[in-house]
Amino acid sequence: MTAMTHQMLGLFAETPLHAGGGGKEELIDLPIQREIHSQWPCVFGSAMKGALRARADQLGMEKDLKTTAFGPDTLNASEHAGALLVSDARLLLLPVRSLTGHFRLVTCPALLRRLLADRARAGLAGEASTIPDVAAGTALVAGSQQSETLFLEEFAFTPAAWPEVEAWVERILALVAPVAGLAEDDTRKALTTQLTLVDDDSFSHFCRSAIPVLPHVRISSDTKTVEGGALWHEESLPPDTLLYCVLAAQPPRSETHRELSSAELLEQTLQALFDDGPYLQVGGNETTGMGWCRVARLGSEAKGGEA
Amino acid sequence: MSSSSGRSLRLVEQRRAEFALQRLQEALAESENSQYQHTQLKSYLRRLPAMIQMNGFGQAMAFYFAKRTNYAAYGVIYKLLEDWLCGDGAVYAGQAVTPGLHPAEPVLLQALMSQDQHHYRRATAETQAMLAWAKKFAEALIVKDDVEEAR
Repeated sequence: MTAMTHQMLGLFAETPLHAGGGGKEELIDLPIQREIHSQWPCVFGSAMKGALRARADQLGMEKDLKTTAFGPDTLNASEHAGALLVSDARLLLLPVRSLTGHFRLVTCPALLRRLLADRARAGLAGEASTIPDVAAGTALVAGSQQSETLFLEEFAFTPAAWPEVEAWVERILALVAPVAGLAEDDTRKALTTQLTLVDDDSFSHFCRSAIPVLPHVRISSDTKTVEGGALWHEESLPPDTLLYCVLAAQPPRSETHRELSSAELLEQTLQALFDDGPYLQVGGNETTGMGWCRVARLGSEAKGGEA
Repeated sequence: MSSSSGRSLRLVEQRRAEFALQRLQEALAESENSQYQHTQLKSYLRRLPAMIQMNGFGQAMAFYFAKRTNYAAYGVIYKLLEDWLCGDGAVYAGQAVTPGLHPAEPVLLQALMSQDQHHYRRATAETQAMLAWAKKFAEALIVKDDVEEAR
């Protein structure tokens, strides 16, 4: 019996998100963070923890609770470790442009399999479900819309029906926080229409080609022309990307909160962070509006998408 | 596969690096004129990886091929990739490429139009891997910056 408590956070990007992953050595001057073996975009756990702590600072979270959850500041770092464990934010849905219509929210069997493993680790097992086989060149979509060829980026896919799509829509919807004033059914319909499953190899390719790259230039104030050498390219995850992150709490180690259980600590921390609004700023370029995510909380007792 | 045994033991990364370095040295040995500046090689190599990711591989290659008449450096870069992708054992092996640093016929463009999506994807990935070297060598060998870089 472990005394740890888990929650899953769904992070739906509302603005472009740039969690920077390196320097000029890459093809793109400022690439985003990626997992090495799969090259899937991600946000490292340290960046996620920093984003959560920054929100705690901004909202003026009570000091002892903050120290208990995130650990003491650098000067007193040897006193005790924080009780909160923050995982990498992992990719689940990537928006991909389509020649033939509205953009698609694309995922692949490997990501769905990993989601089930992460849910199981977080104690969110739920009903068993099958991960369908997808042949290369085929895209699985909700049954009603499989008439013509589906173009994603430069590639043509033959649409086919995804048999268990409703169950997957519900599972994914649990990670998308509701928008105030927007009916949940509206979100469900949109997700059902846009959800698209492609084979793992095609998805790997989209993780390169569908990631936006923005050129940045610095203009000299005097001449209003570009300054020499001041052109660089920056990658970012597009808005409508869905990521998720697993939070775990251990029993508190600090003197002030020894009496709290891990579940109470996690609940108090998340209430302090998100009761004012389900939003979190992740990654760089905060002052140009980037990195805003809508946060859904999915606890192990929760039946589904928790408000 | 190459006949010499030492060659086959080398990494594909080593062969990419060798090819990129050799091509850039040849390109830098050619004298500059009003339509060909060495700094342009650096600046066009810098922007190509991003252009491929933004506009797609075919579009970017067609752009570089189209620009070659007024700016020869675009042609040199296009030809570097054409020769690499159409070389022995490469994704578009078997295409007849013309000799020299500058392109005459759009051999690569024809190859990527006529072959399937799988080839196209492989060619895109191979091109980005090659450009990582070409871009690095251009940064190392060409010191000056193109003042009109952001054009």
